[in-house]
Parts: sequence; C-alpha cells; structure tokens
Amino acid sequence: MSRFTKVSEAPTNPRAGVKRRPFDVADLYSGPLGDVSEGAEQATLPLDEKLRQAYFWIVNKAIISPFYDIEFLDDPPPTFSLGERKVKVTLPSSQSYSSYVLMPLLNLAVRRRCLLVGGPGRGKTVIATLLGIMSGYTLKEIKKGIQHGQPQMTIADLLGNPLPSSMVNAKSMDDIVIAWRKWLGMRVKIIDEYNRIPTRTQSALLTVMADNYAEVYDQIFECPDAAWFLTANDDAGGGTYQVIEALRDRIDIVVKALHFNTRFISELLQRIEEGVSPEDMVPREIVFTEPELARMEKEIRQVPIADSLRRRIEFFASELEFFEPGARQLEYMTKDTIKVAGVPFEAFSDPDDGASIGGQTRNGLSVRALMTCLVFAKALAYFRGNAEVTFDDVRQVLPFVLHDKLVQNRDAAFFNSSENEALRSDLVSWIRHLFDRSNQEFDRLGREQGDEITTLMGQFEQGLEGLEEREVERRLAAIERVLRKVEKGGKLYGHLFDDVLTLKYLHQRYTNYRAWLRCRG
Amino acid sequence: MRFRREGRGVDHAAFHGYLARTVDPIIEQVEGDPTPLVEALFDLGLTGARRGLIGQADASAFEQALVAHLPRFPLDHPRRMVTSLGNAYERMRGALSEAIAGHWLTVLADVVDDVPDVLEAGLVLAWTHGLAEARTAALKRLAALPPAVRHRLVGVEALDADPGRRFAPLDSETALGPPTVITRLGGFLGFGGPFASPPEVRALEGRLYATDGEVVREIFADVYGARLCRAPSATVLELLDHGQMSDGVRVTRYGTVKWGKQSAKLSELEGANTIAAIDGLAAVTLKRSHYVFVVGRVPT
Repeated sequence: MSRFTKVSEAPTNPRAGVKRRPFDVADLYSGPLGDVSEGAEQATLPLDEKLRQAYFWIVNKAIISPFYDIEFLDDPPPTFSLGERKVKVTLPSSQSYSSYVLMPLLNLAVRRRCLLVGGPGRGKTVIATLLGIMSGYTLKEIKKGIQHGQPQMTIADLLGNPLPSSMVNAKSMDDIVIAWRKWLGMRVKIIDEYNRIPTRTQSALLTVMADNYAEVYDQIFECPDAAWFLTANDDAGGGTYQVIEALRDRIDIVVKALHFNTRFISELLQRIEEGVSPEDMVPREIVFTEPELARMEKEIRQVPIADSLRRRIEFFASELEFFEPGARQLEYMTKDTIKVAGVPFEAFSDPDDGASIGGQTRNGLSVRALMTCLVFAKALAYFRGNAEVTFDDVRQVLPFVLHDKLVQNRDAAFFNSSENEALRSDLVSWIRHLFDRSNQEFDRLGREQGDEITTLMGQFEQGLEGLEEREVERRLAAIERVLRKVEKGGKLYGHLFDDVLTLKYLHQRYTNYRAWLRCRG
Repeated sequence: MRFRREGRGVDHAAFHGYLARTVDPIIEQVEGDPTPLVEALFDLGLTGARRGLIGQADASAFEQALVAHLPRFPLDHPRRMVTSLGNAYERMRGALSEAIAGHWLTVLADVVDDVPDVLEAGLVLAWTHGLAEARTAALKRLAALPPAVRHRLVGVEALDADPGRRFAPLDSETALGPPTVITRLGGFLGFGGPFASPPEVRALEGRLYATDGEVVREIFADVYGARLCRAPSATVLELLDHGQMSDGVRVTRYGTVKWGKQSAKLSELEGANTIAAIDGLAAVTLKRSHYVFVVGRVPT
C-alpha cells in the first residue's frame, strides 16, 4: 500500500532550483497545527513543487500513463525515423510530461473548464475524481458530486428542486425555497458524459459554467470559483445530444485520453491482486487546501510574459482571423464576417490555396480563447518552475487550448499532400505546426529585431498630454510612411491586417488630438 | 455549533473532555479577555485531536504540559503562541520523543521571563534537546544574545568559534581525541529506515548528505544529537555529479580513519566504501550496510 502512496521527493524538477535554506525558527514553529510564525509561508514547500509532486504521483502511481507527448528539450535530442513513413521519434532531453495528466492538473490550478475526451474505460472520470480529492474532498463527496449526463436529465436534476412545502405556502416567487444540489457549491465540478445531457438542461449548465450562478424559480445560487471537468466519449458530437455551441465554447481546454500501452498490463494485474484503486490512496501531502488553491491561482497569474514572446503570440493570432475575399472594407475582412453572414467557406476562392496558416483554418481566435492561451501558458511555466513564460510553454499549451476552438479548413490544398494528410485528424500536431510556421515567418520578417508598429504604439502609450502639434504631425507622417511601405509590399497578409488596423487607430487618435489642439487655438 | 461545522472526525466526548480538563484551567489562570485564547485553543484542540495530540478519556502529555506551562508564556497574540508551541511540540515529538518534547516545553517556560524572544529561545533549546538540524540557526541566534541570556540557555557565556569542536560540550576546553564512531543513522526501508539499498555519502556546499540513489537525506550531528532529515533542496544526480567524497578525512576499507594527524582503527567501519566530511563531522557508509556512521572527535 505504501508503494502507492509514496510521493516523489522534492525537488521534482531540479532546474526549478529550490533554494537551499538552513533550518530556522519558522521551520520549528510551522506545521500541521497551522502556520502562524513569521516567514512560515516561505518555510513550507512552494506550491509549484507541490503541484509537481501531485503530477508525478498521478503519473507514477495512479494513472498508468507512459506517454510523454509534451516534450521539452535542453540539448539536441536523439531522434529516430521509424517505418515507411519515417515517423519521427524524439527522446526528450529535458523533463517532459503526459498531457493527459498535466493539462487537467493545470486546469485545477487555474480553475478553468477542461474536457476529457476518450473511449470508455480510459480513466477520464478517474482523473477528474483524483483531482477532486486533491482539492480536499473525500471520495464519497466527489462521487456524490459527479453529475452523470443522461437523456432524461432535467434542470431540476441538475440544479435542485423547490421545496414542496414552500411551493404550497408561497405568496410570491420570493417565498419559494430551493433545495440546491450540493455539487453547485463545490470547488471541483465534474460532469460525466456531458454530451448525453438534453439540450434544454445544457442551457442551464451553460449558465452555471459561464456566469457561475444557478437559477431556479427566480432564486439564485452563487457558485464558488471552481475547476470544471467534463467528460465525453466522443468529441465529434457522437453523444445522445448535440452539444450547444455556446457550451462548447466555454470549455477552455480539451485533453484526449490516450490508448493503454499493453506493455503495462502487469501494473493492472498488480492492482487487481492487491485490491487497490488510486482514488483510495491519494497521499495527504498532495492535497491542496482552499487557501492554497487560491494562492496558487494568484501566483500563476503573476508569472510574467516577456514582450518579445507576446509579440509572437500576437503575430500568430493575427494570421488566423484575416480573410481578404470575405469583405470589401478592411475592418470586415475576417472569417467571422462570412460565418455571421452564413455564407459557406467554399463559396470563396482560396487566395493562397491554403498555403498560409490562415488558409488552413475556418475561424480566428476569440478574446476568450486568447485569454485561455495566456492563462494556461502561465500555468505551465509556473508548473515547470520558470520565472517567466517561455516560448516552449506557449507552444505546448496552444494545441490543448485551441483544440476545439480552431476549426480546420480540411479542404485546403495543404492537407492533400501525403506529408500533411495526417494533420487532418491529429489536431495537436496541426496546431503546433501552425504555431511553428507562424514563428518561422515572424523570424523571416525580422520582427524580433525591429517592429515599427511596436515603436509607434510605444510612443502613443506615453500619452498625448503636452504633445505639440509639430510632433503630432511628425507621428502622423510616420504612420503614413509605414502604410506606404505596406502598400508597396503587394499582398496583404494576416499580420499586416492587424498592423494596418492598428496604424489606422493610431492615425485616428492623433488626428482627433490635432483637431482638438487646433480648436483650442 | 462550531464543533458541528468543523469537528468532522473528532470524537465529541474526547473533545468535550479536552475543553473541561485543559482549556478551562488555562483560562482560569490568564487575566484579561479570554476569547482569543479560547478560540486558539479550540482550533488547536480540533487539529490536535486528529493528530493524536489530545487524549481521549484522560489528558495527554501535551495537554498536561499546556496546563502547566502555557499561562507563563506571553499571550498578547494567543493564536500565534499557541499554534507555534503546538507545532514545535509536534515536531519535537515526531523527531525525538514525547518525553523530550515535554521537557523542552518545561525548560522553555522556565526561561520565558529571561529572554528577549521566546520563540528564538525555543529554537536554541530545541537544538540542545537534540534537534540537530537547528544547530546553525541556534548558534546564529545565540551569538546575537547578551552573554547572560546565553548562559541561561546553554550554560556558557562565550561560544567556542572552532567548528571542529562540534562534539565537545560547550563548556569543555579539553583537547580533542582521535576519531570515533559517535552514532549510526538511517537503516533499511523495510525496518523503518529511509534507505532501500546501502547509501553513499557526499558533501555539497558545506552540507552533508546520504543517498541510496532514490532518496536524499541530510546529515546533522553534534554534541546534542544526530539526525537524518529530508533534503528537499538536493537531488541524487546533483550529489553524484558535484558532491565531494571527503575533505581531509579518509577511511580505508579496513575501517581505519585518518583525520589530519589523528588516526584510529574503528572495527564498526570495516567494509567502508564512502566517506564525506564537513567542519568536524564525518559520515561513513559501508558496502553492505543501510546505516550511515557518524564519526567525530570528542574531548579526551
């Protein structure tokens, strides 16, 4: 039994560098009865270390997951080309992770909404249950709190019932007392097989997921911040009911349960023989208290993203939204325009035959999707013990965040080549490929070294107060000069689309300011 | 009401007993508004009951120590004091023994009126009671105290600056003898020790570690005691790559330890395979033993 409850010793990621600190007063007086001594916060194990310990316990003891699909490299790794299709296998030279465990764990840390997709019996509900227990609930509480989607599920089943006695005696809606379902008040919410919930009940679920409150008979239940885990056997709408788009859109991250590696059947056998199951053995050391979860989420939000990396993310996102044939006016040249108009994508001629990354997608990124990317990139950097978000953190997080958000244009010529056809179904690799392509382009254009728009925005952000007309004229001329350069470049690309709109914005702000200066005399 | 909300898993009768036999007498001895102290003791009781610090039908040793000594401590911030003492007691109890933890609290209560900072004095006394990992911090705190307070805590006014005399009593001036085995630490995992296979020792950045390739433990030892502690800041790889095997101290496989000009044949160390040393402390491991042998020099 102790073999299963053993937690990896700190430091679980040596490069994260736990500071060598001698035993001191705070260590003596902090402990299980509460940390009240000065500096006690520092004396305990950092929360990122605890998070890593939780990860390694799940990977090594709970969920048999010999996959390391989130690869990090320190040095050039050994690579092998296998089979007729020369499948590239890389042996990561730095600590790498299993997405199926890591991403749900990060979801717990940032308290967002995670969809676990995979066939029956692949441990989707188990991992959600484990994370619930790691949030301080008992197995019994978690089991009671799981909402099992089924075709007869009503709003009352999901949210709660009005008390019959209050219904009888009520003189107004305000008098009705609702017996709210307990799961609404939990910090971990698990919805099993959410695509089996009827559409009407899905709408009620949407309100809880999106706005964090439940409503029955005009009565409101305010839910606490929670990490959501939803499971589905089939990602492609194969459940009993089609999942409403708004609900799908609220899901921040999608993680696929990978197949079981048959080389590890011996582990299963051992569990059968010893009669153990991981939910019963979660070690106390990796259980997070409510204040710890809140502190961890706050610490994650504080992880900085360097401007240079932010520029790469901006560049990538700008490539996706632009769709030149969709409108006459620049502002409307987006994929959203044709979607809202209900015109099929195929009705337009593909300007670059799907060669650009914008041509491979049928939509751009919403504000919510971008925010989720940033939050999870911060969470991954925090988990790895990085002082700031790195390029690799973003690269590894994007496929899981954008998995359901980026719609592939499967008709793009890009996918017709034998080299790329697998990317039609392997969305994780495809999204990574898009980001890599975007960065190659970013480097080719030398955006890292010089970016006139960033300079102009930097000038503007310093404020207009006290700016003389002559300087305003100079800046307006500079904006027009940059636009002339774009004009000479010929073809309009996604990143230029946002650049041009930004220049137009700056030009307008300066023009208005100049008009105000002149009016003032 | 609060017990019903927060007392899950705690025996109602036992907790009631704790309130009557422990909290009540303490409150009677304290002047001023008792509410913050009652609340602090209530919370301490709930957590303590879950950890076996609170007795069932009768008062535990911890409760007895609290009743006897807590009212003598400064209780301006009752929660901080009560929780700190509880945590320290629990640490001492786990690391050493219940009797030592109780004695520590008694001695600390005796010096409360003579020291500028009770918690710092507690750290020094924890060290002299055998919490060896507190040595560095305790010596630092002691150095900053007035000589009279130092004397009150450790029995000497001046501290010997020679780190090599760590196994000599603080008031001893006698010359050190040849190296000798002070004690042994660790043991096989199956018998309650930390090591699954015979460990090796390394010194790294002025600290001493033992590892079996799976777990890392830091070695602390001096005249007051010896302990192996978890070492969250050092990894096996780091130790094996950068750790030092010895520093002026050698051991042969026949168990002969050469320490500067001193040498001794120690039969317990036959079959020695690694040795590492820092300031007056050496650790030796044997090829077929799960123990770490602490070697030092004591006054003749």
